[in-house]
Amino acid sequence: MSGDPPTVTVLYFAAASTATGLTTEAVALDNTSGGTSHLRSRQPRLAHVLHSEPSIDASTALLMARAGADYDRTSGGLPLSALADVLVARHPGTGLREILAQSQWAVDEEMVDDPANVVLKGGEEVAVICPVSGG
Amino acid sequence: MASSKPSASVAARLDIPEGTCALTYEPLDVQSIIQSVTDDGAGATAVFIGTTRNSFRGEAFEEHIIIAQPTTMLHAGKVVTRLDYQAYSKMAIKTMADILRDAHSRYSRSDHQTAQSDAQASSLIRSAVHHRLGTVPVGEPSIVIAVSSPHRKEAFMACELILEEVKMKAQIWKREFYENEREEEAEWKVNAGH
Repeated sequence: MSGDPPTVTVLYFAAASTATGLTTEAVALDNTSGGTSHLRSRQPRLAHVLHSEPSIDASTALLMARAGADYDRTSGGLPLSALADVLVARHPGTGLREILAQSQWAVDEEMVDDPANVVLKGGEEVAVICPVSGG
Repeated sequence: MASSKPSASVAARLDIPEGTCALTYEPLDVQSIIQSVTDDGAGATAVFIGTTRNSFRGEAFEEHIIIAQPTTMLHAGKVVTRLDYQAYSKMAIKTMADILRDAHSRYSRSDHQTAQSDAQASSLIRSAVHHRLGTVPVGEPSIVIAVSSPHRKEAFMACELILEEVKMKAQIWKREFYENEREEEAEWKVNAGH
């Protein structure tokens, strides 16, 4: 088997932290144990997800399979725009999707203007920046 | 139950030529912060103190402006028991420093008739922005901003600019806890403009 999948450290604050019950977690970029990015089409990837996480519900499994599809070893990573699906799949039923829809991302301490321009390769610190309320 | 404190929400301090930014779990020492911006060339020092107030109808915040009478607004409605603040500190402190640099460079031309050297320099002498983290009880300051300048106009304007920019950009979050409401339901606030 290949080595450990690349991971990022995700930081949760404020509403995201309350929703997930976490302040930080390590997230593998291809999301499922053992990875699915080597599987070319969706059906074997979905079967892999259901096999490795038997308690998961179907819609969450689909999200994880889709995220595995987004991780592209040739381009070297997961587009930041795909990370929301990965995180929501890890925390179903928490309202995290709605929170992420209103939040920005910070990668390695820089605010991200356009998530479509950022590809995560592993090792980054990715923070969910909910709408702020300092001052 | 208090908000879980992220390990990233640490105390921090950053000193730059324009002044000082700080995030602290200690009570804010207003006089010390004012003292930190004093200068023999400062004809004016503007200070903003944001304080947790005890009632809510839109915001649990009481604003004091030095030189003006403090205004306390009484609202019917929910009673705030405390505010909790947390920050992504290593980003927030850099954002605060950028805000001070921006304020000093904006007020860099003097409209006043001055000696040649004054006209080239920043009209601000020194600024400080200190934000408290953790639980801030009612009646205690959560943010203090102080700006010194040769002239009052720039001091007032920079002080306000720094406040508005911190509210808009700094990676800091506030959670309000109300009397007779479950702590788990306490809302994370969102500043206007989001």
